[in-house]
Amino acid sequence: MAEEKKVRTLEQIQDEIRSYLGEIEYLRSQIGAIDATIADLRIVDATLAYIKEKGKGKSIYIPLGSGVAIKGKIENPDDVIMDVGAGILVGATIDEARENIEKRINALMNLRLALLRKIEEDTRKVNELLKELQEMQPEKK
Amino acid sequence: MEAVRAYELELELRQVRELRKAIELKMKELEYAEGLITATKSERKIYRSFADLLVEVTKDEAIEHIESLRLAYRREIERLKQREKEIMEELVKLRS
Repeated sequence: MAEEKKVRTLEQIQDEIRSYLGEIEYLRSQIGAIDATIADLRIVDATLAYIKEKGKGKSIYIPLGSGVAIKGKIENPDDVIMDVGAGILVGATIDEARENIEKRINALMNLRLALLRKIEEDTRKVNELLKELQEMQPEKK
Repeated sequence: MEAVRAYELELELRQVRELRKAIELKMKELEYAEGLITATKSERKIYRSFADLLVEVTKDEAIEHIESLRLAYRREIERLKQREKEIMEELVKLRS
C-alpha cells in the first residue's frame, strides 16, 4: 500500500482530490434535500396536532391545485388518509398518521447522520491527499 | 470513431445503471407498502390513487395491484441487466 502511494503522480492525486470534492458536494446536496423533507414532515405533524386538538367543525379551504382552493368543513378530525407508496393510501387516525411521520423523520435523521459521517471521512481523505501533495511539490521544484 | 462509440456506450451504461437503481428503490417501496397493507386491520379503508383521484379498494385489490407492479418492475430490471451485459461485452470488444 505504501509503495502504491509512492508511484502516484501529482495528477493522480489531484484527480483523486477532485473526485472526493465532487462526492462531498453531492452528499451535501443530498443532505439539503433530506433537510427540506424533514422540515416538510414537521409542518404536516404540527398541522395534524392542531387539527386533532381544535379542528372539529372548523371551516377550511382545501387546495385544488394551481393556487385555487374550495371551502370545506372538518367533520371528523380523526379520519385522515396517508400515502404508503405504490399509489396506495390507507385510512388512519391522526395519532397513527403522526406516528408514521415520526418514523419517517427518524429514518431520515439516521440517513442524514450516515451522510454526514461520509462527508467527514471524505474531508479527512482530502486533507491527507493535500498533505501528500504539499510534500510532493518541493520535489517538483 | 471507436473512442466515440466507447464514450456513447459508457454514457448509456451509466443511464441504464441509474434507471435500474431507481427501479430497485421502487421495489423497496412496494415491500414497505405491502407490509403496511398486510398489517392493516380489516376495517381500515384503503384507497388507490388514479391520477390524484382516490378510489376505495379492498385489501386484496391493493395487494394485487402491488403484485402486478412488482412483476412489471422485475421484468424491467431483468431487461436492464441484459442491456448492461450487452454494453459491457461491446465495451470489452472495443477495448481489446
